[in-house]
Amino acid sequence: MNLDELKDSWQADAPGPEPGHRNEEETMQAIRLQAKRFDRKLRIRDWLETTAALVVVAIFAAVLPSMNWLARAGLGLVIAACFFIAWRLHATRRCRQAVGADRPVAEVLAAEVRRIDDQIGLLESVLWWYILPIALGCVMAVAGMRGLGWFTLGYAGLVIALGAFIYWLNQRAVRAGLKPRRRELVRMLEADRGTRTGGESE
Amino acid sequence: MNERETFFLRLIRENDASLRRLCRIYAPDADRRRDLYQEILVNLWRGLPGYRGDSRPGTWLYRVALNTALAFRRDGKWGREIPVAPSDLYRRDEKAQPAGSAERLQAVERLYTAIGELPDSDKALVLLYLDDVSYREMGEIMGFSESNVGVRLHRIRKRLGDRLTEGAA
Repeated sequence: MNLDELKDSWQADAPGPEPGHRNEEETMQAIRLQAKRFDRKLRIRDWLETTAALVVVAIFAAVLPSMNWLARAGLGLVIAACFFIAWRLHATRRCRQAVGADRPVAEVLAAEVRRIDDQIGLLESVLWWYILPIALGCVMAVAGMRGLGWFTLGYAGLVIALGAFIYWLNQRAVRAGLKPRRRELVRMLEADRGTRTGGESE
Repeated sequence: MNERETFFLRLIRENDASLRRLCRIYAPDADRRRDLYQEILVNLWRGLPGYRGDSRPGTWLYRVALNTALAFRRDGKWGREIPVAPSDLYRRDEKAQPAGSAERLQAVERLYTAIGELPDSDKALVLLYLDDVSYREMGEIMGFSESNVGVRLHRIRKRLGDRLTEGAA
């Protein structure tokens, strides 16, 4: 039995509507609603990230003048880190949106590999651009406000432990999620390249 | 109903059976097929304003649908592969089935099972081939050259043919 013999049967196989099937008007309403929800979710996510960064900056900027130089330097570092983090996440996301779902499949797969590489890069270097500036800034600010005592030491210990946990979570996401997904995509793309090479030699 | 909605509904109506077969191939059970089908429709609707008519509507639809299906699987919207069981099939429109089709239906079931064992991008090519899409259009959808499509399909057809012969024996 070959594939051509089954073509007619395949095309005659018309899977019927699933349970909960709607008429066209209901379908349109549901699609409009879901598309609106999806767009709203994106807008809310962007708004929350920006607002959170602005709130942190506003609070820290308000208390900054009343503090000594060490606390000011610490909070200044946290403010700068907030701006940098917001910019970096925004830049990575904009890069990811460059290829639409209506492009050829191989192009979308290649873009997905680049997107995953960006994410892996972000998470692998998370210590330097996210954890360290925020942690260092917070510890400096507390040291400036409370002096170099037990409280500051305990706080620093807590911040280091929290930073280590966040770092571990990020590296686990790279190992368990992103790298296997990247391997799968590369396998699909390489299968294509392998076929091209094979095709030329055949 | 405005022009965009009319065009969208016509496109879905004309390609509904293909979309459902695609969902059947890429999603292992009825619930996830329904989720995938809805996600494809939403992506088609959201992408419609960007469609400039530089490719056939069908080509555009297949690209969006396949990219959505592949992303759906990659994003792990289901945790594990569940083999397609006969009891877990789409509810078919019995009127649409030709008379005396039990044997054909069995053959199509075997075909679905065999396609399910292929890698994801090969599944896409078989689907397009069975839907009678031309090699040139398959190339445009997948981003392969026409000769590459031919070479791949030759291998896939052989593999599926062997599998179907084994299954029928």
